[in-house]
This record gives sequence, structure tokens and C-alpha cells, in this order.
Amino acid sequence: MIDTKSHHVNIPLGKDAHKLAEEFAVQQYSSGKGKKVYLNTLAVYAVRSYLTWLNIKTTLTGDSWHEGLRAIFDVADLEIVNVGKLECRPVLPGEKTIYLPSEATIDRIGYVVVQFSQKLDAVELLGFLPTKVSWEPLETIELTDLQSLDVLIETIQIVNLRQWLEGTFKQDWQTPELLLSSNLRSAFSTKSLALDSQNNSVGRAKVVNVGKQVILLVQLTSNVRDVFDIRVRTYPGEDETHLPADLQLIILDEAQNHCMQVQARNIDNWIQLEFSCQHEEKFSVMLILGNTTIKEHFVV
Amino acid sequence: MEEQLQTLINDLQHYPEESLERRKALNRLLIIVQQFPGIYKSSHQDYPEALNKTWEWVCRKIGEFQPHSSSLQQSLTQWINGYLKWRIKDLYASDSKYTISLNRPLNNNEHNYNDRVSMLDILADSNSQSTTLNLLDLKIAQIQKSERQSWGERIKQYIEQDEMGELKNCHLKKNPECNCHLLAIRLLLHQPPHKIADIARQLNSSNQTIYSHWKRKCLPLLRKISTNLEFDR
Repeated sequence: MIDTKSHHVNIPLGKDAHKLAEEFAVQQYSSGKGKKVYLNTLAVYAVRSYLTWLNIKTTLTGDSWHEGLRAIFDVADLEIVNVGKLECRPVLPGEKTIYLPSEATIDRIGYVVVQFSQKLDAVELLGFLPTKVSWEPLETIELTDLQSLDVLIETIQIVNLRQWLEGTFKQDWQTPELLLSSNLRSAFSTKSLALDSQNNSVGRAKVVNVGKQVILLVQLTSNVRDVFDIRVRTYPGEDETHLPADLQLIILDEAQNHCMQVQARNIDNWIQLEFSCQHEEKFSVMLILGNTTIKEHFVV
Repeated sequence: MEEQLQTLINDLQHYPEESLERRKALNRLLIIVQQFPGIYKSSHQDYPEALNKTWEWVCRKIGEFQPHSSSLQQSLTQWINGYLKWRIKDLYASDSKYTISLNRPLNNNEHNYNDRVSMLDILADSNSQSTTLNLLDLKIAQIQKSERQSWGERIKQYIEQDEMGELKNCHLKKNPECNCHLLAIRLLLHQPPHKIADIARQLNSSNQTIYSHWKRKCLPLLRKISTNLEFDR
């Protein structure tokens, strides 16, 4: 029995990683700054490796990959496609606290801590700390505060509906009109789905492949303080008029218990479920067609 | 252990691609299999790269894994080594393009794949210098010396000299001393960086005031400067 909590994922670092780190480091004004850049580069490289293993796409377009910005800022940022920026902070042997400069906290969804050892041919990913909204700026990270990489995976994958109300949309969620108009032509009015700022309501849609393409629409309306009405609707995709027969739409609670369920008949144009959630409540939407199951996770 | 692995592999073969459950399970699987003592090791300088590619392959292909013996750990180790050894073999193959002495196989046992790899292992470049943490400063300093005026040097000078005064002019209304020039030197160029609390005390200001000036005004200005410098090259 291996306790997966006391061990960490190990990321081997090859010559390719060291070549890049060296190239970036020698551009710096001192060996101290060069060493920082070297380690930051390896840290970003390692986290990118890990996310690639998990089939999560990243791009090297951040400040850490910009020659001017990494020359003045102490940054190790990595952009996850459609999600946001991670900061990958190196920690050296014996260190228990990680210094976090202001420039490494801007627009980050969280911090992955990368443990270095004397030999630089591999590193360990110690854990993750998600960004919390607070007035006090985060200046250090204590290793004891770190959470597991499961929390990182959740943060990447969960759609934060509260951010929708603030106008931030990630993970491929688009305005319903964009996806629906071409599919449904004039058969449906999409007016009711658009952002209605007066009612504090917002809806977004996403193309989902359950063997056949369908469009998943989620609409959020904030009514009373900290209570939100949620409508989940499925439309046909690919210029179809009807949903695939027997398509199931299921709502699951945080513990993944089935809560509500609806199934498409032969001639349904859409199916929907409506419910209410409180702030910070999590739920999942599951679509099943034949042997294919798709799950999307949300937090309010 | 066997039971734990069995459940994990079963789960992984059922979870949909890109699902939250699958990724969490992959994370657990990696932690477990990376501890297996039987995973092939090599002193070749490109071994870490080969191992990195192997873990990526394991994550992608675990759905196709079929155990061949009663011990799941043993089967899984063999399955992983099967791929890893090929990757290592590739490394030696690419070495041989440049080093003729490595080109010749040491035995003709073409069919016994395991034997061949262990022979190649003897050829591993045991003198390859992998970088260690202690040697990093020395390594970087050596190369930096040979470079002409570096990027970092140019930006550092630009900040220190601030000829146009754009950094000094970016200050708190009531406290000109609290300007971007001073903060950039203390917080970015000084190693280790000064603490915002210490700067605030010296300048008779509050942490929050300094912090928000730095974050809202100075960081964007410095970002603009270092992005524009690039165009002058």
C-alpha cells in the first residue's frame, strides 16, 4: 500500500529543459538573478510537463517566457488554455516558506510549489494553493498550507459561475447566441437567453460531444442574497433540429448523488432542469447518450 | 497494494477522457508507479527526458494496459519498462550517429531485447556532467561573462538611471519619496528584496498604501518599459 498523500509526483527534467533554463539565465544581470530565472524556468517546465501528462493544454506565453519581463520580474507563470495563469514557485532544500513577490500574484488562479533537490534532473510537485480573494496581499506561502494536486485539477476543471456574474468566462463557454443561432435558425427565440443585467442573470453555452454534438446551456440568476437559480438546458448541435433520442441530462450534487434527471424523446428540441444553489455549492451536469458519458463541474 | 492498483486501473479504464475523475486517478497512479523499485534506470544524460516521455505515455495508454502475470505491480512495471527501454534505445541510437565507437552492437543477440539494453547500459556516459544546485551559480556566472551586455543588464541600467524620470515621477501625491524608482530598486533589483513593511516604515506610510501604489501604478509602468525596450533592439 502506497500512501498517495505522503508521496509526490516526480517530474524528470531533461536536457531540453536545462537548455532553455540556461538560455534564459545567462541574459540576466547577476548570477543570483540568473539562478532565480534558471529555477523559475525549470519550475514552469515541470508543471507544464505534468499538465501535458494529464492532457491539459498550456501555452508558454506568460511573463516568464518574455525576455524583458523575466529580466526584471521574479515570475514563473504558466497559462492554462481557457482557464488562467498558474504560478509555479520553486522551493529549495530545507526551505519551509516561499517568498511571493507582488508581480507573481497578478491574475493567478493559484500557486504550484515545485521542490528542487541537489540533483537537478528531477523535481517534485509538493502541492497547490488556490488564490483566495482577500484584502491582505499574499506575501509568502507556508509549505504546511499546501493542498494536494487534486485541488489543482478541480480548480482547472470546475466552472466558477460566480465569475460569470462578474463577466469572466473561461473553459470555452460562449454567448448562447453564438452557438445557438446557426443551429436553431429562426425556430427559437434566443432573446430570453441573453445576458439580462437588470435581472442579474447570465447564460453561457458550450458545445459538448456525447457521441453526437449537443449544446449545453447554463443560465444563472441571482435572486436573494447568496441564493442562485440555475437552469441547465440541452439543445441539438450540428444544425440538427431535434435532440438525439434517449439523451439523458442529470444533475449531481457535490457527493455525486443523482438529484434530478430528464430524458429526451424522439422529437424534443430541448430538455432542461431547474434548481437553486447557495454560494459555494458545487454541482455537476452529466449527459449520457448510449455508452458515452460527459460530466461538467460547477461551483456557484 | 495490489487491490489499490486493481481498483485504480479499473477506474481509469472506465472514466471518460479529460474527466475530473480520470485526471485525479492518473495523479494517484503516477505517485504509486513512480515508487516501483523495478522501473528501469539509466545513467545516460538523456534518461530524464526518456522517463518524462514515458510518464506521458503511461497516462495516455493506461486504458490499453493488460496484466500478464498474477502480480499487477510486476505486470505494470514490465509494461512501463517495455516503453522506457525503447526510448532509451532511441537515445543510444541518436548518440551513435555522432560517436562511432558506440555504433557497434556488443553482442549479436538481436532477439533478446532485454540483454541488448543491458549491454548498452554499460556504454552509458558515466562522465556526463549533470548540473547540480551548488554548481548552478558558477555555471551561470561563467556563461554570463562571455555574453555581451545582457538583457538584464540593459533593463537594470535603465531602471537605475531613469533618465527620463518616468519612474521618479510615478509617486504618491502626498509623498514624492514613495516613487516607482525607489520601489523598483528595493523590491526588484535588491537581492534579497526589501520587505514592503520596512519600506513603509522608512517612508512614513502604510503597508497597504505602498502595496497598492506598487501593484496598481509601478508594476504596469515597469511592464510597459520592459516590453518597449525589446523593440529598440
